[in-house]
Amino acid sequence: MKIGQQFREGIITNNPILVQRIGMCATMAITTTLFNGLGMGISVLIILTCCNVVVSAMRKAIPNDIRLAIFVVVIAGFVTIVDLLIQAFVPALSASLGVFIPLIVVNCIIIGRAEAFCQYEPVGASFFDGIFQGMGYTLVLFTMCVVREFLGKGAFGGGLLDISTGALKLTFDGTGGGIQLFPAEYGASLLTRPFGGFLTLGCLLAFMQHMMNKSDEKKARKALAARVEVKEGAE
Amino acid sequence: MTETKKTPNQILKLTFILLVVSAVTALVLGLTNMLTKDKIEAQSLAATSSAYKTVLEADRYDPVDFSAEDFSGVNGVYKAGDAGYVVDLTFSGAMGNITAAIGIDASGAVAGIEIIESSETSGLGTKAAEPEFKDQFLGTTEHAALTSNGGNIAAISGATITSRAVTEAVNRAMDVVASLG
Repeated sequence: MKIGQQFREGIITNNPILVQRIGMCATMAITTTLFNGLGMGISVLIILTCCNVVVSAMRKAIPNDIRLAIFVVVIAGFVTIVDLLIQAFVPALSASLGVFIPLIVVNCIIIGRAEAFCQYEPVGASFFDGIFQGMGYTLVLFTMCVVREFLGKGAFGGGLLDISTGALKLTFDGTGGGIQLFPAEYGASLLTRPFGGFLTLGCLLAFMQHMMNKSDEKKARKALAARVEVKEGAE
Repeated sequence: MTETKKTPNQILKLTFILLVVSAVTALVLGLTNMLTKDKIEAQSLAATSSAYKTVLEADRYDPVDFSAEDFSGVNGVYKAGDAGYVVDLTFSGAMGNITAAIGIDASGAVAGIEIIESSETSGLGTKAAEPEFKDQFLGTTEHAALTSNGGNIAAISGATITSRAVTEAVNRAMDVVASLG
């Protein structure tokens, strides 16, 4: 499989959330600030890539009967490692994501990719699959955070950007207040609640489906036109 | 997938493979834990002591014994050097539990209040964490009460239950410290 095609699949045509529709629980729960969203996205990207590589490397040694048990052990191992590292080096992220980091163990994206892809494909392809699927996931989280933060609180980059000192500065300890684009009182605060996660994700899914349908229609029309041309040529 | 009957040997082989994978994972986890353990402990200590620092400045916070039966909800009492005590307690608010640190200085007066965790209604009960409300308690050595109960603490409008809960928590903190003698 070509890398370009894998990239397109991970980001758009086989996006883990918008197309495969897996791993949505955490997506709705944690996309309240950009800090949380990016933190979660990058954690999943790292764990997914590591698990993909290990599962793919062991694919010939894993007996079919106990493959799920082995996947879960490998995934749980990497999740715990990342969880410990986050607690040690980015405690603010661990405090704000809380239980959702350990819960990556049961995130369908990781076991789904192991089951659907890595147990058949070589290490290189699995590595890129992890990176691109992780990027697709992170991109959706990023979009949801931006939408929910802007419409809900009138802010951008909560926890990650800090302008309180006058100059724009990146903070990695979750203390940044973000950029206030309009007063928070005018925001639709329901979007910052878990309920708002459902709304935002629903709209994103609908938009994605619309774009995919449109592109399918275009392809179908092109194919039809090509067929008509061939027919005319034959006559 | 068709399920076929397995001989004991095959079952043993599967068990062995799973055992090896688990053992390797456990080893790697053990190593990670060894490398991160001290760092994580230091981080969690820094997090709690920074909350305590805002209510009562001190170099160190040593836990002291108190009668846990008489004061339910008190998670810990810490002696903040010579400055006084910090009481860490959880109490019931309007929407759920509230955890707060309350500093009582050496003279028995309230030195600071910090809400560590709460699930109060955003925009109403969450105002309990703002200076306008909590600074009313600073310096009191007597039990505090809301104005509606004849005291001098003005309740947050729209969040009377939260205001009362915080007031009672402050009183409880003073009682705990007083009981230490």
